[in-house]
Amino acid sequence: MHAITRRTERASCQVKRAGLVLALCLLPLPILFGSLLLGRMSLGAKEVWAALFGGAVPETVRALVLRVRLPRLLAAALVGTNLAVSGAAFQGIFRNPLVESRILGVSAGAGLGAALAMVLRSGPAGIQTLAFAGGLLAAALAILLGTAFGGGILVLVLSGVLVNSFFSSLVSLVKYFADPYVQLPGITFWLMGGLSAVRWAEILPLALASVIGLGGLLLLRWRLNLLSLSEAEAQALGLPVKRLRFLTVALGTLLTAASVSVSGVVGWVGLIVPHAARALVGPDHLFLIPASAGLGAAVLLIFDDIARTALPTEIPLDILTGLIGVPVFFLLFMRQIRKGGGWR
Amino acid sequence: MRKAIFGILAVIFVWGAAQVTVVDQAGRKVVVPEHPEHIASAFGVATAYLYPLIGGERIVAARYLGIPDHPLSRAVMSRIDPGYDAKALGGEVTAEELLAKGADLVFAGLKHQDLAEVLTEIGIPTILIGPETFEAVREATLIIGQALGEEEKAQELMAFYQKVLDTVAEATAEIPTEARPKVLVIGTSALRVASGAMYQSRMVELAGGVSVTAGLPGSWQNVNIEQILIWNPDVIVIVPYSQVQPADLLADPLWAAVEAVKTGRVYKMPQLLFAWDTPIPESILGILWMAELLHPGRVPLDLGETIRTFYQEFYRCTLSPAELNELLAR
Amino acid sequence: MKLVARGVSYAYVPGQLVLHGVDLTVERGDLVFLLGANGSGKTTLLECLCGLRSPIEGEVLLGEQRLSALPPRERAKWVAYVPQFAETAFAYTVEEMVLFGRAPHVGPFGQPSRADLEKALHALDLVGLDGLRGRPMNALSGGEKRLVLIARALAQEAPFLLLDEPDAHLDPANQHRVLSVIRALVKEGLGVVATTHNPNSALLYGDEAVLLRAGKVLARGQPSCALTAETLAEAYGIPFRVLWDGQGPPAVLPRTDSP
Repeated sequence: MHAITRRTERASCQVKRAGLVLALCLLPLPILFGSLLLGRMSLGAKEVWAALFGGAVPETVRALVLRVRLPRLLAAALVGTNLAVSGAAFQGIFRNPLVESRILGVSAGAGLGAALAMVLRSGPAGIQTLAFAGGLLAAALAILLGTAFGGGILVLVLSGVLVNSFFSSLVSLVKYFADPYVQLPGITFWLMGGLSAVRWAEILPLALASVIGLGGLLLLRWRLNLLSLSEAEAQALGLPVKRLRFLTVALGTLLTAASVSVSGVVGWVGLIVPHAARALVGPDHLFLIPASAGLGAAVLLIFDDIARTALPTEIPLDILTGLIGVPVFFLLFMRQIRKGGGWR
Repeated sequence: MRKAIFGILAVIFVWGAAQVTVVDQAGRKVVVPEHPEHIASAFGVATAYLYPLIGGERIVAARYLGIPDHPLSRAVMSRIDPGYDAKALGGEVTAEELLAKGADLVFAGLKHQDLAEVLTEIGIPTILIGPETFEAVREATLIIGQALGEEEKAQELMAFYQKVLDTVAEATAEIPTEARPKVLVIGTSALRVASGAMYQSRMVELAGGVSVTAGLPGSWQNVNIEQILIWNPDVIVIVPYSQVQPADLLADPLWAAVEAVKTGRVYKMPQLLFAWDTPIPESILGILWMAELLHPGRVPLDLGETIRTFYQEFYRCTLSPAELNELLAR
Repeated sequence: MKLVARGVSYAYVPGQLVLHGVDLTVERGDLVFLLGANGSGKTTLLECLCGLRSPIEGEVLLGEQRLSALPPRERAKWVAYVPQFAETAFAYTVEEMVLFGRAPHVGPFGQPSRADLEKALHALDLVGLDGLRGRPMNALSGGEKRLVLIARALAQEAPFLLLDEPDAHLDPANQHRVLSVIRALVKEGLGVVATTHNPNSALLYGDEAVLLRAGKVLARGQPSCALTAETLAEAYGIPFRVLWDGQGPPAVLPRTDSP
């Protein structure tokens, strides 16, 4: 009798947690719709609805909603989700609270790809492709180096740091040789992150990568818990640790590279959102991964709203996430340490 | 004894008179040598003042903006100054490099204060210019003319500049606001626009247009496509040294709703020698070109003729009709 | 079904053997204690038995089959390993931690089912901690944490349990608690190998004691027979004396006065 009542109250706790996760997953939807109204030109909800579903609106409004804002917001949601989920996964397998998806040098590699593309005068498709390739290349290099020296976590992290520094230096080199009047401003702006010119054509590859990466990580999410135990324990529980770690890293890298190639280098989202999600739903990746996904999309949508609405000029995303995100992270982290929740 | 004193005084007097003191646009007093033989320009804008005044012989090093990318520009520049390739400075110019080239007078921009300090330390006089208005262009011309000992030529250049300026101003002064097209000036990438405080916006106003970025402060600014849709310019002008071509914007779905793209009024400013959108005497041709674009036939000057005259008089360069056509082709 | 180590040798550094052809047999219903000085090879042998390390010579057999021939998931259904500490960077709850033990039974891309949860809670019950299911791991005492790890291993439903020093770092009451739970599980049919630094644990609770010295088996058998003053002195390098008050198992103490 006692056990049953205890079980039911635990069950209601679980239901609450599941409910919270669901709420976080649905959160981006109203934010997305609300964001459609925001911009340098505010629109009314009725106008937006009409533009979306074929009502009578002036051509500029329809173009604004369907061709300019909608792809941009979808990109923001996808990028936010991808960075948050890959950040959560990486924090799990590297067992480190300061890890985010850029640890394997993906951003630096993508930055190099984009910089080269701009120096070679490519269009947006070229920039996205080269950035994606660069990101994957850098991560592959870090993984190769790491596995060559044993494949342990510490070695992987070190390889990531090395690759990151090396590719960052290469980016600086490209910037040095770029024409300071013609090419350099473009490169600098891209590196600071932004979604100012997202077209539908760029959304498709991003969506594809997101489906693969998010789907894979969602399927693996319970196993990610096990990867956060010691290697001996995980192995003893029957996990193919190295293979699973590699798969997780590959999926996370895919998500990050695809995102960075569209949005430029946006930091802190992959670090802070998993922490916030963990504070809300606990460290079990079963709940953490979906929660991070929803929260990540919501957060980046909000940041993007600020980026394109606050000033007539476009504020780079990296600046916003850094200026606003870092103090938030600090507060969260300090509270968690005091409460002891989520982290040891 | 008296002869000796008189001799010394005379030497001092002559020596003093042989020095020229110039006040540059940063407010610095610079003493320049009487006959500078090795002149350098660390500022693309400044280079465009040197060539009309003294030609290429005495120039040892300079920044050339946009010339290497255009076959026509390269061809014409090679006629004016056959060895210009070897003089081209790239990237960030350093004092050492200028010293190595043996410069005895350097022209630079207002942002090169640090460079100027170093150069002054090692004994190379540096003159800084930074024009952003028509008056400032005149002032810069006169300062540089004074420094090079070419006051007369400078006056001629200014007279030409002012004449065209006045003619255009007179022709467009009476145009009412409704008849003035909204113009957006795009820089090195599609979403990088010239602010209201820049020379480009003044050119637009003078040419009979309205600059959509009038309220935007600062220098080049990055905006997003939404802001451009809100401005909805009637005409888009791309600067000559940009990587963007009109075809890029006309084909881009993001830009499709912009008025200028819908009517196909996206133009790239012609590039011959120095960029017509920068604050240089040559920009007078850019202003005339723009006025022709916005209000065809209103200005009582022939664009082709004015271009030919300018380059003939100030560069001693004859443009063939074929070259002129290539220049003005849209 | 027996878990057998036959002629197992292992070296961390090539040429420096840490285990020299060691034999060990565990049957279901047996509680075997492994003892030896630091560096004698006990933990290494344990890790070989569990499949975490591959012997460079000899083999580990599960029944007739080589343990190494089994894929890791299968292996985990037969042999469970309990480390000294739960090394996790996150503050999982007791319930979540025990649920991890269901990993070998959950599909590679799946999540634990309700049945898995029931089994995990049952395992928690077996170690007497079902009241703590919602607590975070870092709020538990040392003994409780140890018991949770045992419960996790039990959730694996493996017939063999390998424990690394289950009595270490615990006060006497907790030591008794943990070891009696293990004793009770062995009575239910589990086969257990546990390393320990305390010969008295083996004497009190064990069915068999295996004493290692420098990677070789020095003594083997019933604890009171295998752990004598002579064998212990040889294994640890200090003199011991055996005390017996006529009731129950004997106890051993290091001899502190001069021999």
